[in-house]
Amino acid sequence: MGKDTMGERTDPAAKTRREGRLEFDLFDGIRIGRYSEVHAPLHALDARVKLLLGVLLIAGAAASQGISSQLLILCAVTAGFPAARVRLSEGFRPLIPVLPFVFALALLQLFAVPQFRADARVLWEWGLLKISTRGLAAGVLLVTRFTAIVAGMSLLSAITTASDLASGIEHLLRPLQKMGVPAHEFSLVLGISIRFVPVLTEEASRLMKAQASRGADFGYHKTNFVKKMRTMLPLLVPLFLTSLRRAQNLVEAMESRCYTGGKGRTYMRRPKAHPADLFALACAACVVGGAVVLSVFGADARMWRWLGKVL
Amino acid sequence: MPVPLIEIRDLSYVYNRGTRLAVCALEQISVEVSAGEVVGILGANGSGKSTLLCHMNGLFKPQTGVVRVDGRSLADRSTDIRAVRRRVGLVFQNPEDQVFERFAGDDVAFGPRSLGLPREEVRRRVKEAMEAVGLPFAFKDRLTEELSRGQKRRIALAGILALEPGLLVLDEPTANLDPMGRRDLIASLKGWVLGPAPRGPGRARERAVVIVSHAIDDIVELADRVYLLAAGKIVAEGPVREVLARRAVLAKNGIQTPFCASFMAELANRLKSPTVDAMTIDEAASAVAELLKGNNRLQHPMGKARPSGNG
Amino acid sequence: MLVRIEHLSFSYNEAQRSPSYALTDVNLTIDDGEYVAIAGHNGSGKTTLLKHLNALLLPVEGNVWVSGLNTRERGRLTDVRRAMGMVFQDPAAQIIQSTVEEEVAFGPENLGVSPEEIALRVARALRASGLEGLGERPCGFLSIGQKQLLSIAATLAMEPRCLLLDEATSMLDWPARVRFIETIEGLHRRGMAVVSVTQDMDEAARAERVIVLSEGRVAMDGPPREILTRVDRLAVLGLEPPSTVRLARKIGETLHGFPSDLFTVSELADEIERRVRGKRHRKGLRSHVGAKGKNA
Repeated sequence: MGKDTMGERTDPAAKTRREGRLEFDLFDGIRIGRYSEVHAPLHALDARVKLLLGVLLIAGAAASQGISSQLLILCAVTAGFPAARVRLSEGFRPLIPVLPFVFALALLQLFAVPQFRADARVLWEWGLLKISTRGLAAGVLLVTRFTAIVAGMSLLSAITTASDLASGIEHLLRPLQKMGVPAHEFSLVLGISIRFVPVLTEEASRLMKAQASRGADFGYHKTNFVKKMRTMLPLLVPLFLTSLRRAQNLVEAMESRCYTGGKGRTYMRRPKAHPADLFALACAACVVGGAVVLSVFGADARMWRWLGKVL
Repeated sequence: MPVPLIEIRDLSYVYNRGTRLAVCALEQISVEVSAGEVVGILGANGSGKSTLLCHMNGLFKPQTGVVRVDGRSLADRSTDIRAVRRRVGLVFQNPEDQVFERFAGDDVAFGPRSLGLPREEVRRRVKEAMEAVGLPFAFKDRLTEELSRGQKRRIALAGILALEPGLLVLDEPTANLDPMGRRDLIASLKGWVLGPAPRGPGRARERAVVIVSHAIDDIVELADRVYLLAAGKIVAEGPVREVLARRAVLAKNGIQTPFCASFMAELANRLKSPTVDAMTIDEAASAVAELLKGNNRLQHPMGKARPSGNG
Repeated sequence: MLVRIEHLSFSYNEAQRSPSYALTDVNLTIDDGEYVAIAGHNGSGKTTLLKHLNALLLPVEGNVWVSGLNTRERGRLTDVRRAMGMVFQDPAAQIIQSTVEEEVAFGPENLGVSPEEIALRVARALRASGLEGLGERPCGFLSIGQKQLLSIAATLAMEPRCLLLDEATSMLDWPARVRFIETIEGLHRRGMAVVSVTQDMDEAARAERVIVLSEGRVAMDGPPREILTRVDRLAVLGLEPPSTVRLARKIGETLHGFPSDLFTVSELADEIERRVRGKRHRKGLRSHVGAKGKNA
């Protein structure tokens, strides 16, 4: 029972060489999301559709101005998690490292948004610091927008494998091949890069252990930038050389298998759009459309007025 | 009774402990190495060798159990881990990949220099270390990029020896070496553990070596005692001859029986006579020669016959 | 004829004023279905020679013909490379795609094979290399041994005439190595030619033909039995003979007259057994006649 992700990699049966939570653990920072071999409806979607959903999501969240729009998108994403058989706690996990940053920004919005609109009511004042309804609205908008986007990305990475990503991009770009866009080369590069992130991380981890074992001190207390770079040399130089060597090996392997670029290639699996894909796209389009509509028709303003009356 | 150089008691280690992806890499491991010994840790890929290795110089902290170097527990806060890493020299697999300096001599000097030792002392250590691996001091001015794999490996090993460890731990020391390179490396290791001439009568050897490997020939040629590691547990331990004669246990755990041992067993089978434990070509040849000279039975040159069977 | 090499010379730094040659005046031919081992000390040019067989390298002097095509012919590179499938030393470093299926399909896809045919070839290749059922597995989750088998499958999908192995077992542990060699020998029995560069003399002993390189030239070429029993010559070339030969030699050092041309385990064991039983028989006769036995 394996797991493939765009970041993390584990397989108990294969007894991987993953590091534990120690000074040389480099894996934790790289996790973006998780993909499970469980087959849920959303996994079966066409790779291109998965990518398009991502684009729609970001576009929708970026374009809409109101909190209500963001909440709509967020609801849709939350509904998506069960459809991907992902537990909500897991799905929202990627938010955790981002939240402090988001709240800091929100706080800034709270105090810094200009207060000069006529309908901005001041809620709290202390010297030069003012919190108005506008500021509050801006802050909440920021938080919800971030949440919507990050949750959406989490959902996407839960249903998208590295192969999907490479294949999706390639087939989306294929019509452009006639104009000289190297679709397959690009997707190959992308696929290989993703696949090699854990490989190189493990390599780096091993190197750090090896160099630490012979007296290297990775500059935890060096303040001088130049000195700090110097202490990283035992890590950077071998890593660089190893990467070059791997690249060389990979090129030889590709040439041995007659790779000459995207022209003239056929595909074992041609992505075919099924009704389910169109349905998913339609749903996403509706949600995004709804978000834009809410934003355009000032649903937010109405909502605040109503809240204002209530409070 | 002198304190063992390294003592590991009931060590266990689980990757991703407490999560769904927990993998038990080591279970109740106990290993002891005293000065003057060469100890082998024999295990196929996936047996937990690498994890055990990382515990020996404090790269990993034991989850349960204790690791003591010169009697001091590594989990003890007052223990200086950097001093431990000088005392226990850990040489990872393919150490030539760690070489990063431009000149060979600088790479060997990296360890002593990072200790802040005076120039003369660094020079002395580099010279001795290079001689220990069979390289003339003049080699220090060679460019590392021009060195062959075998030469680079010797430089990397010298780099660890320059820290003057008491215990040398090597992971797959002869991997990817050609037969000549292998022979030279084994000779260097044998020479190193014998150490400088004893400073007085009755002075015991102060150094020890641990070889962690799946290559049976290395263990046969170097080790006095061996631990057989499989699936995170120690399934056999004892003098090399004893453990390596247990062919069924070896085969079951993915270790190849040494050629001589299996040949002698074949012979004993044909002649319906007790088998003889011959581990090296020399021993096997002597035993066969004795047999053919006139002794009617397969006899170990020292006169010890062993019951046939797989042990 | 599968491969013909005439007066091949190669240098990695030919642009320099005094270039050093990795290969000098190599001449040899390889037939369909042959199993050839290439041995030699480090730096003797083994891998360099192998890479000429699938046009990863082109000769500086001389010519290499593969399947009747000269490797210098630019337009026919694909035809040369589809006929000679190469498996490299590092199992992880030659995997290009993310899943097993995709990896095996990569070759045929490059050749423009139709999707239905690709699927057939992939299934066949996975079966032939013992990886059936692992099609959907991400490559990162294969063991090192399986990765190397995957590389075999990936080359098989291109339906080559010959497999080129560049020290393909040197990074594998014993169980994986046994499995790999069994797979290769199974393919050979079914007609595949194999050219295997190896440092392991016991492995070289299993081939039909051994070519020994030294300093970029062919030093020896013949059946393993002939080549690998010439212990002194091998020593000069920086090589050791296989274990059986070493043992026979060592026995012969104390026991004069012990034959040193025994090659396989059974031959060696047979010879020893024969001599022991002969002695026992003679001893039996003597004691029957009444003379003292030579009992120690």
